Amino acid sequence: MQPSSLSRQVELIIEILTLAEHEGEDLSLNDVLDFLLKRRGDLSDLIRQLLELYSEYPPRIIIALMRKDPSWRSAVYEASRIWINYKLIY
Amino acid sequence: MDEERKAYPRFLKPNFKPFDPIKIAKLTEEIVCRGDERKYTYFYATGVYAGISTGYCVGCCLRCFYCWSNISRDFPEWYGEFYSAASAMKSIHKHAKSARVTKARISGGEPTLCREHLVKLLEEFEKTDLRLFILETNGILFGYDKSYVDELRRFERVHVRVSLKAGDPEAFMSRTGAIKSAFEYPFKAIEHLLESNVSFHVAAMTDPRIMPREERRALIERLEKIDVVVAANLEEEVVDPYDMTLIRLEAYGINATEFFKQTSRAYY
Repeated sequence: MQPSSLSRQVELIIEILTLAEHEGEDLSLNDVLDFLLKRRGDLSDLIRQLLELYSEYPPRIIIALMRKDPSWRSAVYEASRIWINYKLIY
Repeated sequence: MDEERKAYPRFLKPNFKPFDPIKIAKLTEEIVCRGDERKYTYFYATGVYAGISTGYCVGCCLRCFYCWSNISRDFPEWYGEFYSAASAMKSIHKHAKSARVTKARISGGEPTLCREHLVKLLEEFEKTDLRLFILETNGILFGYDKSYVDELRRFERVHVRVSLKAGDPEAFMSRTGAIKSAFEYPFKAIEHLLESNVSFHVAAMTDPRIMPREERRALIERLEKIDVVVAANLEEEVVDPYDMTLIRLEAYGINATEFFKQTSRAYY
Protein backbone atom coordinates (compact mmCIF):
# COMPACT_ATOMS: atom_id res chain seq x y z
CA MET A 1 0.00 0.00 0.00
CA GLN A 2 1.44 3.37 -1.03
CA PRO A 3 1.92 5.87 1.78
CA SER A 4 -0.53 8.75 1.47
CA SER A 5 0.81 12.14 0.42
CA LEU A 6 -0.22 13.50 3.84
CA SER A 7 1.75 10.85 5.70
CA ARG A 8 4.83 11.53 3.54
CA GLN A 9 4.52 15.22 4.29
CA VAL A 10 4.18 14.43 8.00
CA GLU A 11 7.33 12.31 7.87
CA LEU A 12 9.30 15.11 6.23
CA ILE A 13 8.11 17.69 8.76
CA ILE A 14 9.21 15.42 11.60
CA GLU A 15 12.64 15.17 9.91
CA ILE A 16 12.78 18.98 9.81
CA LEU A 17 11.73 19.29 13.46
CA THR A 18 14.44 16.78 14.35
CA LEU A 19 17.00 18.83 12.45
CA ALA A 20 15.85 21.99 14.21
CA GLU A 21 16.19 20.30 17.59
CA HIS A 22 19.62 18.75 17.08
CA GLU A 23 21.42 20.89 14.55
CA GLY A 24 20.61 24.25 16.02
CA GLU A 25 18.95 27.26 14.52
CA ASP A 26 21.69 28.48 12.25
CA LEU A 27 21.64 26.06 9.35
CA SER A 28 19.52 26.58 6.28
CA LEU A 29 17.64 23.91 4.35
CA ASN A 30 20.34 24.20 1.71
CA ASP A 31 23.01 23.44 4.29
CA VAL A 32 21.36 20.17 5.29
CA LEU A 33 20.11 19.16 1.86
CA ASP A 34 22.62 16.38 1.19
CA PHE A 35 22.04 14.90 4.63
CA LEU A 36 18.26 14.97 4.16
CA LEU A 37 18.38 13.45 0.70
CA LYS A 38 20.69 10.62 1.81
CA ARG A 39 18.59 9.94 4.89
CA ARG A 40 15.20 10.23 3.19
CA GLY A 41 15.67 9.76 -0.51
CA ASP A 42 12.09 8.44 -0.59
CA LEU A 43 10.93 11.99 0.15
CA SER A 44 13.20 13.69 -2.39
CA ASP A 45 10.29 15.12 -4.41
CA LEU A 46 8.89 16.86 -1.33
CA ILE A 47 12.34 18.02 -0.20
CA ARG A 48 12.93 19.65 -3.57
CA GLN A 49 9.50 21.31 -3.37
CA LEU A 50 10.54 22.96 -0.12
CA LEU A 51 13.94 23.89 -1.51
CA GLU A 52 12.34 25.96 -4.24
CA LEU A 53 10.54 28.06 -1.64
CA TYR A 54 12.69 28.02 1.48
CA SER A 55 16.25 26.99 0.68
CA GLU A 56 17.92 29.80 2.67
CA TYR A 57 15.76 29.58 5.77
CA PRO A 58 16.50 27.73 9.02
CA PRO A 59 14.17 24.85 9.96
CA ARG A 60 11.94 26.67 12.48
CA ILE A 61 11.15 29.46 10.09
CA ILE A 62 10.30 26.89 7.43
CA ILE A 63 7.86 25.15 9.81
CA ALA A 64 6.23 28.50 10.64
CA LEU A 65 5.83 29.35 6.95
CA MET A 66 4.52 25.89 6.11
CA ARG A 67 1.92 26.29 8.86
CA LYS A 68 0.44 29.14 6.82
CA ASP A 69 0.66 27.25 3.49
CA PRO A 70 -2.67 25.50 2.69
CA SER A 71 -0.88 22.64 0.91
CA TRP A 72 1.21 21.85 4.02
CA ARG A 73 -0.90 23.05 6.94
CA SER A 74 -2.66 19.78 7.79
CA ALA A 75 0.63 17.89 7.74
CA VAL A 76 2.31 20.49 9.97
CA TYR A 77 -0.45 20.12 12.56
CA GLU A 78 -0.36 16.31 12.38
CA ALA A 79 3.44 16.23 12.72
CA SER A 80 3.31 18.69 15.62
CA ARG A 81 0.83 16.51 17.53
CA ILE A 82 3.29 13.62 17.18
CA TRP A 83 6.38 15.73 17.94
CA ILE A 84 5.00 17.41 21.08
CA ASN A 85 5.08 14.05 22.89
CA TYR A 86 8.83 13.92 22.27
CA LYS A 87 9.20 17.45 23.61
CA LEU A 88 7.26 16.58 26.76
CA ILE A 89 9.18 13.39 27.54
CA TYR A 90 12.34 15.43 28.35
CA MET B 1 7.73 61.00 35.99
CA ASP B 2 10.97 62.60 37.30
CA GLU B 3 11.01 60.06 40.11
CA GLU B 4 10.55 57.30 37.56
CA ARG B 5 13.46 58.65 35.51
CA LYS B 6 15.65 58.68 38.60
CA ALA B 7 14.65 55.08 39.28
CA TYR B 8 15.38 53.98 35.68
CA PRO B 9 16.54 50.36 36.01
CA ARG B 10 20.09 49.43 35.02
CA PHE B 11 21.57 46.01 35.90
CA LEU B 12 19.29 43.73 37.86
CA LYS B 13 20.59 43.40 41.42
CA PRO B 14 19.43 41.34 44.43
CA ASN B 15 16.41 42.91 46.20
CA PHE B 16 15.52 44.91 43.09
CA LYS B 17 12.21 46.75 42.93
CA PRO B 18 10.05 45.26 40.13
CA PHE B 19 9.15 47.69 37.40
CA ASP B 20 6.32 48.03 34.91
CA PRO B 21 7.91 47.23 31.51
CA ILE B 22 5.33 49.36 29.69
CA LYS B 23 6.45 52.42 31.70
CA ILE B 24 10.10 51.49 31.16
CA ALA B 25 9.41 51.11 27.43
CA LYS B 26 8.04 54.68 27.35
CA LEU B 27 10.96 56.06 29.38
CA THR B 28 13.44 54.23 27.16
CA GLU B 29 11.73 55.52 24.03
CA GLU B 30 12.24 59.08 25.30
CA ILE B 31 15.96 58.30 25.17
CA VAL B 32 16.35 56.14 22.05
CA CYS B 33 13.59 57.35 19.71
CA ARG B 34 13.35 60.71 17.94
CA GLY B 35 10.58 61.00 15.33
CA ASP B 36 11.23 58.17 12.90
CA GLU B 37 14.80 57.82 14.15
CA ARG B 38 16.20 55.29 16.56
CA LYS B 39 19.58 54.84 18.22
CA TYR B 40 21.88 52.12 16.95
CA THR B 41 25.43 51.28 18.02
CA TYR B 42 26.52 49.49 14.86
CA PHE B 43 25.60 47.39 11.82
CA TYR B 44 27.09 44.04 10.86
CA ALA B 45 26.45 40.66 9.23
CA THR B 46 26.64 37.41 11.16
CA GLY B 47 26.12 33.67 10.65
CA VAL B 48 23.04 33.17 12.83
CA TYR B 49 19.83 32.28 11.00
CA ALA B 50 22.14 30.89 8.29
CA GLY B 51 23.40 34.40 7.54
CA ILE B 52 21.75 37.74 8.41
CA SER B 53 22.51 41.45 8.33
CA THR B 54 21.88 43.18 11.66
CA GLY B 55 21.30 46.63 13.05
CA TYR B 56 22.30 46.68 16.75
CA CYS B 57 19.62 48.84 18.34
CA VAL B 58 19.77 50.53 21.72
CA GLY B 59 17.32 50.10 24.57
CA CYS B 60 15.06 47.47 26.10
CA CYS B 61 12.09 47.34 28.47
CA LEU B 62 13.29 44.27 30.38
CA ARG B 63 16.45 43.64 32.40
CA CYS B 64 17.07 39.90 32.02
CA PHE B 65 20.00 38.96 34.21
CA TYR B 66 21.42 36.52 31.64
CA CYS B 67 21.15 38.88 28.67
CA TRP B 68 24.08 38.98 26.21
CA SER B 69 23.40 42.39 24.71
CA ASN B 70 25.94 45.15 25.19
CA ILE B 71 25.93 47.79 27.90
CA SER B 72 23.79 50.13 25.82
CA ARG B 73 20.82 48.14 27.12
CA ASP B 74 21.45 49.38 30.67
CA PHE B 75 22.79 52.86 29.82
CA PRO B 76 20.98 53.90 26.63
CA GLU B 77 21.72 57.58 27.27
CA TRP B 78 25.43 57.03 26.68
CA TYR B 79 25.53 54.84 23.61
CA GLY B 80 24.48 54.86 20.00
CA GLU B 81 23.64 57.38 17.30
CA PHE B 82 20.31 58.22 15.75
CA TYR B 83 19.47 56.73 12.37
CA SER B 84 16.35 57.34 10.32
CA ALA B 85 14.53 54.26 9.04
CA ALA B 86 15.90 54.89 5.55
CA SER B 87 19.51 55.26 6.65
CA ALA B 88 19.31 52.27 9.01
CA MET B 89 17.97 50.08 6.21
CA LYS B 90 20.62 51.44 3.86
CA SER B 91 23.31 50.27 6.31
CA ILE B 92 21.62 46.91 6.84
CA HIS B 93 21.31 46.42 3.08
CA LYS B 94 24.94 47.38 2.50
CA HIS B 95 26.14 44.77 5.00
CA ALA B 96 23.79 42.17 3.53
CA LYS B 97 25.23 42.69 0.06
CA SER B 98 28.79 42.66 1.33
CA ALA B 99 28.23 39.37 3.21
CA ARG B 100 26.01 37.93 0.44
CA VAL B 101 23.13 37.23 2.80
CA THR B 102 19.45 37.79 2.09
CA LYS B 103 18.00 38.19 5.58
CA ALA B 104 17.83 41.24 7.85
CA ARG B 105 16.95 42.07 11.45
CA ILE B 106 17.48 44.55 14.23
CA SER B 107 18.77 43.03 17.45
CA GLY B 108 20.66 43.80 20.65
CA GLY B 109 17.93 45.90 22.23
CA GLU B 110 14.16 45.43 21.94
CA PRO B 111 13.22 46.06 18.28
CA THR B 112 9.59 46.94 19.00
CA LEU B 113 10.52 50.12 20.88
CA CYS B 114 10.12 53.16 18.60
CA ARG B 115 7.08 51.91 16.70
CA GLU B 116 7.18 54.67 14.10
CA HIS B 117 10.81 53.80 13.29
CA LEU B 118 10.17 50.07 13.07
CA VAL B 119 7.15 50.37 10.79
CA LYS B 120 9.03 52.72 8.47
CA LEU B 121 12.06 50.41 8.59
CA LEU B 122 9.86 47.54 7.41
CA GLU B 123 8.48 49.77 4.65
CA GLU B 124 12.05 50.46 3.57
CA PHE B 125 12.83 46.75 3.77
CA GLU B 126 9.94 46.00 1.39
CA LYS B 127 11.68 48.12 -1.24
CA THR B 128 14.87 46.02 -1.08
CA ASP B 129 15.65 42.71 -2.74
CA LEU B 130 16.30 41.02 0.62
CA ARG B 131 14.12 37.98 1.26
CA LEU B 132 13.20 37.98 4.93
CA PHE B 133 13.14 40.33 7.91
CA ILE B 134 13.35 38.49 11.24
CA LEU B 135 11.79 40.54 14.03
CA GLU B 136 13.05 39.25 17.38
CA THR B 137 11.04 40.51 20.35
CA ASN B 138 10.31 39.90 24.01
CA GLY B 139 6.63 40.22 23.09
CA ILE B 140 5.81 42.84 25.76
CA LEU B 141 4.60 45.61 23.44
CA PHE B 142 2.98 43.18 20.97
CA GLY B 143 1.04 41.70 23.86
CA TYR B 144 0.10 45.10 25.28
CA ASP B 145 -1.22 46.52 22.00
CA LYS B 146 -2.81 44.30 19.36
CA SER B 147 -2.92 47.13 16.86
CA TYR B 148 0.87 46.97 16.72
CA VAL B 149 0.75 43.34 15.57
CA ASP B 150 -2.03 44.19 13.11
CA GLU B 151 0.32 46.72 11.49
CA LEU B 152 2.63 43.86 10.54
CA ARG B 153 0.01 42.10 8.43
CA ARG B 154 0.76 44.10 5.33
CA PHE B 155 4.44 43.09 5.33
CA GLU B 156 4.80 39.83 3.43
CA ARG B 157 8.44 39.13 4.17
CA VAL B 158 8.48 39.54 7.97
CA HIS B 159 8.91 36.67 10.43
CA VAL B 160 8.62 37.28 14.17
CA ARG B 161 10.51 35.42 16.88
CA VAL B 162 8.95 35.84 20.33
CA SER B 163 11.39 35.12 23.12
CA LEU B 164 9.77 33.90 26.36
CA LYS B 165 11.65 34.33 29.61
CA ALA B 166 9.71 32.10 32.01
CA GLY B 167 6.88 29.64 32.57
CA ASP B 168 5.32 31.36 35.58
CA PRO B 169 4.93 34.94 36.85
CA GLU B 170 7.27 34.59 39.82
CA ALA B 171 10.09 33.26 37.65
CA PHE B 172 9.35 35.95 35.06
CA MET B 173 9.78 38.68 37.66
CA SER B 174 12.95 37.19 39.11
CA ARG B 175 14.62 36.84 35.69
CA THR B 176 13.51 40.06 33.99
CA GLY B 177 12.92 42.50 36.85
CA ALA B 178 9.40 43.20 35.56
CA ILE B 179 6.20 43.04 37.61
CA LYS B 180 4.47 39.66 37.68
CA SER B 181 1.38 40.84 35.80
CA ALA B 182 3.56 41.56 32.74
CA PHE B 183 4.19 37.81 32.44
CA GLU B 184 1.02 37.52 30.35
CA TYR B 185 2.04 40.01 27.67
CA PRO B 186 4.25 37.64 25.59
CA PHE B 187 1.48 35.02 25.60
CA LYS B 188 -0.96 37.69 24.45
CA ALA B 189 1.55 38.56 21.74
CA ILE B 190 1.48 34.94 20.54
CA GLU B 191 -2.32 35.00 20.39
CA HIS B 192 -2.27 38.32 18.53
CA LEU B 193 0.24 36.96 16.00
CA LEU B 194 -1.93 33.89 15.40
CA GLU B 195 -5.04 36.04 14.93
CA SER B 196 -3.20 38.35 12.54
CA ASN B 197 -1.72 35.43 10.58
CA VAL B 198 1.80 36.83 10.84
CA SER B 199 4.60 34.28 10.40
CA PHE B 200 6.30 33.62 13.73
CA HIS B 201 7.83 31.08 16.05
CA VAL B 202 8.49 31.09 19.77
CA ALA B 203 11.78 30.75 21.61
CA ALA B 204 12.18 30.26 25.34
CA MET B 205 15.06 30.30 27.81
CA THR B 206 14.62 26.69 28.92
CA ASP B 207 18.28 26.26 29.87
CA PRO B 208 18.01 23.97 32.98
CA ARG B 209 20.52 26.20 34.78
CA ILE B 210 17.80 28.87 34.62
CA MET B 211 14.48 27.04 34.22
CA PRO B 212 13.54 23.97 36.29
CA ARG B 213 12.18 20.99 34.42
CA GLU B 214 8.65 21.35 35.83
CA GLU B 215 8.47 24.96 34.72
CA ARG B 216 9.63 24.00 31.23
CA ARG B 217 6.91 21.38 31.03
CA ALA B 218 4.26 23.84 32.20
CA LEU B 219 5.43 26.34 29.59
CA ILE B 220 5.23 23.82 26.74
CA GLU B 221 1.80 22.64 27.90
CA ARG B 222 0.57 26.22 27.99
CA LEU B 223 1.86 26.82 24.46
CA GLU B 224 0.23 23.57 23.34
CA LYS B 225 -3.14 24.88 24.55
CA ILE B 226 -2.64 28.00 22.44
CA ASP B 227 -1.47 26.14 19.32
CA VAL B 228 0.22 22.73 18.99
CA VAL B 229 2.46 23.85 16.11
CA VAL B 230 3.73 26.79 18.15
CA ALA B 231 4.56 24.38 20.98
CA ALA B 232 6.20 21.73 18.79
CA ASN B 233 8.26 24.35 16.97
CA LEU B 234 9.57 25.90 20.20
CA GLU B 235 13.21 26.98 19.97
CA GLU B 236 14.89 26.22 23.28
CA GLU B 237 17.62 28.65 24.23
CA VAL B 238 20.66 28.28 26.46
CA VAL B 239 22.74 30.93 28.18
CA ASP B 240 26.13 31.56 26.58
CA PRO B 241 29.10 33.17 28.39
CA TYR B 242 29.13 36.53 26.61
CA ASP B 243 31.08 39.30 28.38
CA MET B 244 27.96 41.16 29.44
CA THR B 245 26.24 37.95 30.53
CA LEU B 246 29.09 37.27 32.97
CA ILE B 247 28.89 40.82 34.32
CA ARG B 248 25.08 40.75 34.68
CA LEU B 249 25.15 37.36 36.42
CA GLU B 250 27.67 38.68 38.95
CA ALA B 251 25.69 41.91 39.45
CA TYR B 252 22.67 39.75 40.28
CA GLY B 253 24.63 37.78 42.86
CA ILE B 254 25.21 34.65 40.78
CA ASN B 255 28.75 33.29 40.60
CA ALA B 256 29.31 33.25 36.84
CA THR B 257 32.16 30.73 36.98
CA GLU B 258 30.11 28.26 38.98
CA PHE B 259 27.09 28.87 36.77
CA PHE B 260 28.92 27.96 33.59
CA LYS B 261 30.59 24.93 35.14
CA GLN B 262 27.15 23.31 35.09
CA THR B 263 26.07 21.47 31.95
CA SER B 264 23.47 23.34 29.94
CA ARG B 265 21.70 20.24 28.74
CA ALA B 266 21.19 18.29 31.95
CA TYR B 267 17.81 17.02 30.81
CA TYR B 268 18.52 16.26 27.15
